[in-house]
Amino acid sequence: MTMRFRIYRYNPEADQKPYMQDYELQDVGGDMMLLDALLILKEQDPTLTFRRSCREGVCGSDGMNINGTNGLACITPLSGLKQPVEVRPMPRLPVIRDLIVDMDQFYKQYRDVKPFLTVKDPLPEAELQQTPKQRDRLDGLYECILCGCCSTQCPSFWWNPDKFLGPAALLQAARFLCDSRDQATQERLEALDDPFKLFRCHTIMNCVDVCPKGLNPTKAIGEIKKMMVKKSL
Amino acid sequence: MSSPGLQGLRPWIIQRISAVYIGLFVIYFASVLLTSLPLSAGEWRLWMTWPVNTISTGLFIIALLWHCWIGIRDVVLDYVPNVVVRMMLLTLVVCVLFGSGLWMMKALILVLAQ
Repeated sequence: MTMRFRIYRYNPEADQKPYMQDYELQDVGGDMMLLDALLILKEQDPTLTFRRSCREGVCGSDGMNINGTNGLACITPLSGLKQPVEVRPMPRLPVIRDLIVDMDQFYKQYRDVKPFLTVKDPLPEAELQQTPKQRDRLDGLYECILCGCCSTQCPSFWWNPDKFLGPAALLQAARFLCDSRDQATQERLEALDDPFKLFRCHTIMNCVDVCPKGLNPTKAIGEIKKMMVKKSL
Repeated sequence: MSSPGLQGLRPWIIQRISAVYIGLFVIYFASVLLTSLPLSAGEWRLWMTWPVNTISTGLFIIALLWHCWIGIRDVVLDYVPNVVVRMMLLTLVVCVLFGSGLWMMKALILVLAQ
């Protein structure tokens, strides 16, 4: 089978503005993923640039916009894609080159939620223990691979990328708020009580639609709001 | 600086509480219209002078204005990135809503005074 691709190209050092380049790939196998196709296209055209690493949907480095929807190229089967397959960088982040975006803003938001356990009591000699029930509360929160698909598919992130933390960072905020071992709940909730950081989420749920790990950042954001209300009562 | 003086949680809670009140008042008002529709201005005035109706209508006006303010504020925060333009727009919205509130309260008080 032959497949057609339209891929976003932009090299700031050589191009005045971005453009879409057409490619054609022969002998596409039924079980091929988009990343496999991109790797073959890169053999034909070595200037085509994109990030990738694990090829297993674990590292989150090959997040891109595929036919209008964000996803990981390595776990997106070609068989389910409409032709020509239009591949663009993830929206609203500065493009470094072709499909590679600058993730600095995204990582800054991740750092802003202090994604680490804060323990104020003296640390025990053994590990900090949890009951199985307390551990279960972290399911659906800790699995995020920080690919950026959710945040860059969120309209609130498009409009206020520097102020709204975005679903990925807020999922991480929820992950530490829900952790029985963390002792900075008050500070974390106070830091999020701002018109922009959390409350720009309008429950559009694009993040849920595109998360390649099947996570639900909208639910996590709802949990944070519930915790805030409980704290304020 | 984002938008000085604007909060996150409090407006979010007020928006939900006011929405519930507006919903309940609309059901109450619709049931009045459907079951015992006052036909003349005198009958309307009498209906409005009952304390339960006066108080619930006054609260409805407050809830409606507050709900409008938070809704419009959210739209402005979403789509107007320039802080100066944003604050000017929000000030304009406050003025319009405050004026509308005074006008509605005046109508309510005039009904009661007659």
